[in-house]
Amino acid sequence: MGSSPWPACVSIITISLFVNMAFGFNRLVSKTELWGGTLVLLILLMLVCGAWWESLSLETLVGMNTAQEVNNMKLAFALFIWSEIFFFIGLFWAFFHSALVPSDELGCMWPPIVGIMPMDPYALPLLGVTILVSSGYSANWAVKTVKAGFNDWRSMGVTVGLGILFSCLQLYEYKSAGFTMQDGIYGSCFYLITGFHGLHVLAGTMFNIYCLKMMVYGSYSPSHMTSIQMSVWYWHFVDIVWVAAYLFIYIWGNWGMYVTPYAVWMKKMEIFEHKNWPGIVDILRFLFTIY
Amino acid sequence: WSGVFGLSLSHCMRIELSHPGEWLQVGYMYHSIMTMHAFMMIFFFVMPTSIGGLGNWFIPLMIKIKDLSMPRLNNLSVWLALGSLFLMCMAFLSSGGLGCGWTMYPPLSNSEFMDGLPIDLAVFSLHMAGMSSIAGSINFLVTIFNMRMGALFFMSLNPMLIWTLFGTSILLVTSVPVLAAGLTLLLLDRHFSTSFYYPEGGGDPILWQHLFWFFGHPEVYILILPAFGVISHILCRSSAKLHVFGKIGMSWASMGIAWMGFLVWGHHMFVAGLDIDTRAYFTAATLMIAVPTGVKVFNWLATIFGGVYSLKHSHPSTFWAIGFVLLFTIGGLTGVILANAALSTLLHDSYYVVAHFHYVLSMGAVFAIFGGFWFWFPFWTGMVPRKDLVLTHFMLTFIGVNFTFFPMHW
Repeated sequence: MGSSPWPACVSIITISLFVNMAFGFNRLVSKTELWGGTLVLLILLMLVCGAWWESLSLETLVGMNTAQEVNNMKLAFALFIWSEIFFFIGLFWAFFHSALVPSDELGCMWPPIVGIMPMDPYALPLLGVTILVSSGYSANWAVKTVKAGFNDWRSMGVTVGLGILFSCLQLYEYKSAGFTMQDGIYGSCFYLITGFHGLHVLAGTMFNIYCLKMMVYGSYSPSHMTSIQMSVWYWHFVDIVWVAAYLFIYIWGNWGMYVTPYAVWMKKMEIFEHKNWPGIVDILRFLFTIY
Repeated sequence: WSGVFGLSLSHCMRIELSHPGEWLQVGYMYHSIMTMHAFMMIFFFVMPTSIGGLGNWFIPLMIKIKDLSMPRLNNLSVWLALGSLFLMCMAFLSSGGLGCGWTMYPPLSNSEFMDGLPIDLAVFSLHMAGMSSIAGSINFLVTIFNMRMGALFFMSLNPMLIWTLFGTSILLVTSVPVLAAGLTLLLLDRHFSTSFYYPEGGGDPILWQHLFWFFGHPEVYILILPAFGVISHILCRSSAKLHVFGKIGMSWASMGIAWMGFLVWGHHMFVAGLDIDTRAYFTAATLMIAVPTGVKVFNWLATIFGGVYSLKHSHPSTFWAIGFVLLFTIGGLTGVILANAALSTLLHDSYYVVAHFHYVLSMGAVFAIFGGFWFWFPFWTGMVPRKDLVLTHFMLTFIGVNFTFFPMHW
């Protein structure tokens, strides 16, 4: 077993990527060079990683990995997911830091009182959550079939399909959103977490596609199913992050979205001075006035 | 599988940046040099040597296996570390230099004040170093967890170095991603007009401080834990004992320091305007970490006690180890003083803080590295160094660091 060139390649590509980005961000190279270079380097990186993983699977096929080695790799992947969890904890920290005690510039309210029209969490995002959670179920189904001894690739196909559907949904949501990443801390946090989550969904989907390919060729057996287990773990991690993001950012974060305009309206209609909440009479009166 | 992925030993990079120049580079260069001094020492000297170097060499030896699990990952860790060094040097040498301090607080490091290449390169460099650390730590954790062979049951795992490297790896795997998050936010702020650290947009520079120090405090334990392991080894060898006194207690103390290290980051933020109760909590938690650390010091003293010593015959590394115990304790005591929020406020921005961390680092981590180097030198090279020369090394260093840093307490 000789030396592998892939780690050095990964490092060199990473250096080039970072230098490219650093120069590009500071406008020392043209925009095309920045994004073109980044694209080329990312593709190169994926090729090198692919070669690395290919040699990994070749080693498995040849029988070089003992059972303990396989255990090692599973633990290593679990630790990698652990580190990813803490990365997201850092990102969520930013969100909670800003949202729990909204600053004066935001009007001491979250969502900020000016300029942000939050999304309705019970519309498109709810569909997204449903899609992703069901893809978690189909991923479990895939693992169960492999454990039972037959490679039912439809299960993984459903997972991949739902994952792609989710990504498309999110893209549409981004396009139709009423705010951008530049719109203050609300926009920054929102796109930060959903954006990084989206990148992880893409990575997880690619891993799932690889497992799908393996299942189509019937390569898994109950004693050789490490990669699909890892892939499904990763997919579950991605799913849980999204559920957390949905609950905290979409629902909890936008909690005031129905109330705030309502409160403003109530102030305007001077209903507030008479009682705490308008009753049916006030609503009827209001309807009468606008009629 | 445990084949010739030979670059793992090149983790033993000995890169030292001497103290900032006195006469020549003044003005803005001073900030650059100071920043680079910190980055170099922490990320490219202590960490690669004690974690990469010692870990790669000794973990396989001490748990009696041939090589670390996943040598390719190890290799990746080396290459990423080298790349990180390259980027950091690029940052230093590019226009303006890196004048933001190793803690890189916004708004100074944000685009309003330091728009330009150096900080971006430094951010990317730290990203790479972080990836390198995570990769290495995953490797160590997997190896230690899974590949203990023979009669080394987990709880009575003998070599202290294994325990401390285990703790170090857990710290790395958990805290580095939070640094990565903070760095990413800084990068986005600098170039994508986000508002994470800009109050005008609702953001908060304190957020950076939280994220950075949530990494930063475990980082300093990462720097010192392997040193603890080395000292245990040297002392028990010097005292002609089989193992350090109270080895189970020592293991628990190391784990305790590692775990509690996550709970105290706020003591770097005592003047940032935190709530009084928050400061009270962090004071209390920080003071509590002194307990397991004290346990370790007492156990080392107990190891020395009853040992056979003779100045003429003792190995030079004994001096390093005893010097460590003495000077690290002094540094720890100044740390206990700084743990108090009220005193810390008074001592903030003073040389007292500099004295504290240089005592625990230059005299803690570095003494352990030098001591370990001379302790294991015959083992690594098969040659025995001349004792008087090694002792001279020790005396000069000892006198030097003490003269440099002791006066800073005033």
